[in-house]
Amino acid sequence: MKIRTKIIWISCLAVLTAILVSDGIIWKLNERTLLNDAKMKGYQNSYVLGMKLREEMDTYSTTINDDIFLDYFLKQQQDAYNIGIRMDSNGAMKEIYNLTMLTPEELEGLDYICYEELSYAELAWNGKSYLVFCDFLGDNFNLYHIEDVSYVQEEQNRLLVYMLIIMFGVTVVIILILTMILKRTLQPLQDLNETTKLMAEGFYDQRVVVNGQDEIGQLGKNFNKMAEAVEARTECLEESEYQKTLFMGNLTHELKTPMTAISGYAQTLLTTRLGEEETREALNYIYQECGRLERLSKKMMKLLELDQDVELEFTEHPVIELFDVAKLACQEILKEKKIQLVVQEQGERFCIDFDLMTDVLVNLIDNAVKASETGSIIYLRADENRIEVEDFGQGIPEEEQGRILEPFYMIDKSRSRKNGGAGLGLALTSLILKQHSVTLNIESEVGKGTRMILQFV
Amino acid sequence: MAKNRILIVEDEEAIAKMIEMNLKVANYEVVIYDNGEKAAEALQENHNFDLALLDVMLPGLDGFQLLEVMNQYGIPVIFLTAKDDLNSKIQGLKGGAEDYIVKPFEVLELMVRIEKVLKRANKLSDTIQILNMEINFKEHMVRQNGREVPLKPMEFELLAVLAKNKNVAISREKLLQMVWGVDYVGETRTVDVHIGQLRKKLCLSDAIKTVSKMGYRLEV
Repeated sequence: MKIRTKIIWISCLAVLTAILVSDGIIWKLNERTLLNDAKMKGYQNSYVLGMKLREEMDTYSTTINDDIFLDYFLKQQQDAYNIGIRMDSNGAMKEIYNLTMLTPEELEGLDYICYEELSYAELAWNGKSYLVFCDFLGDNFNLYHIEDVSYVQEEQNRLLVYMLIIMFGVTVVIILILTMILKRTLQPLQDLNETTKLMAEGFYDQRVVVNGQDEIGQLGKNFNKMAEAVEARTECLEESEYQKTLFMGNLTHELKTPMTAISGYAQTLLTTRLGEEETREALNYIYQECGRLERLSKKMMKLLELDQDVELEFTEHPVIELFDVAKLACQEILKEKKIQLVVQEQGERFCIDFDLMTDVLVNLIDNAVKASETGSIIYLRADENRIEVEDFGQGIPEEEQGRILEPFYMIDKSRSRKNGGAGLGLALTSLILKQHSVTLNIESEVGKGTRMILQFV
Repeated sequence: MAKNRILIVEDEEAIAKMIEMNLKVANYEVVIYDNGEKAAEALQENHNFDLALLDVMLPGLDGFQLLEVMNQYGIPVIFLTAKDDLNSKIQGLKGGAEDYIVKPFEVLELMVRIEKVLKRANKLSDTIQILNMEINFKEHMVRQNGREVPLKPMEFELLAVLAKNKNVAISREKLLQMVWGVDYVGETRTVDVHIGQLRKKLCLSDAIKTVSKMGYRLEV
């Protein structure tokens, strides 16, 4: 059952109970008041009648024994509800004046209750209710006065009808108002429900419109926060998944090429009669391609290691030590292209993992050498919080600058391969720098040169 | 008849050289380029090629662009690439390539495919001169020192395969497959029997070598 229906049912029940209880009380009170009034009225009428009779008796100086006078008096009153009855000494009843259907025995047989100076009894007759007042005037003469109180019942019935109508009306109005209020209040919940359903189906960009500061509004706000977190996380996972697929694709491709060469040469050597020169050449290529596979696997291992977020130990080193080691490692390739490596530093010290940072510099210098013309110059500079490698080679086109850190990305594929590159150098570099919390800035212009800046925090 | 000229455009030197080595043994003439643009330029001057082996990912022009150039000159193309996704294959073959071979490949398979393409393009010579024999595929006939030697059909096919792949060892299973067909369920003994017949009829006991564990090789 919907929460709205539930609330409406419960509220209706509560309201109905409240109305019924209060109506019951009012009804009962009203009945008692009306009955009391009727009793009072009957009593007064009866009392006045007795008074009048006594006065008349005084005026006409007669006594209660005068039946003719009594009959005359009662007739004169012209009230059918007045009854005069005398009981003889031998117990027989004599109706002096009685226009009703009641017999004296019936009147006598009622249960009278004393009330002030009179006594009265309740009487139900022919579906109507009456009060019978009895005034004992002495000498076995009873003056009865009957008061019709049926109107009390009628009044009460009418009241009951009014109450039912009002109760019904109030209930309907309450249902209408509640429905409207609940619809407005619960609308955000409905929206939230729809949005959750959509999100469950994978549309993570859905949000709810938040209005109001109540609990539902807060729920909406928090839901949006959660949705944002979920979306961000999903995007992150998707991106990482995409990167992984890309990486695996590239890796497969990079593995296939040397494998094709190795397997091809092996097949050739196995099946074909080759001359000595050709045999040596084939073996040489196999060896060379194996070396390439080995380099690739080594770099892959390093990438994996670094990717596992191992805690590095940073120690402070003078930057000149770092530069010297890097320069030494690059000596061969520098000599080959007759490139001069100029070191500029003023005794700066950096907090680094020495071996990894050497790898980074060697890689950057290696790239710079590859980009430079024979006989040019490369600067290796240190500054208060940065290290930079500058060359005056061919530069990196702007559209490629964002991609060169991707694994296996090479600007000039065939040339990099001939130089023994696998396209992992800068990917490694950027990982190492990430672990050092160092940002790599690239300033490059095609044909002019490249500045790779390691910005320390 | 002149040798078939084959163009290789491949930026991996090791692979290009490996194919060249095998093609030369099989008596083809080979020209290698490691750059798509350079290859296209060179073709403007000389496009006398019977077949082109193209890599897809190339510096300069890529393989698919180069395919259009080849189509202009009517040179049949076989793609030789590490890209083995369906889209690339479809793009290559729909673009007009004769075949699409994914790296790494079997050298013998490559040779057979090259031969098939050349045959389709009618660029194979009808005769092969080998040792003292002239094998004529059209007439289905072998002449030794100018004298016709009668051979059974399967013996002729076997000789043809060995002659086309001279100096290359071919396993019995491979020979069975290449001569008798892929579906042929036979014993490798069949191959041995036919080889024996060839050796006897053509006096090739020395030329057809048994290579241990590999199979047979016609040595020149």
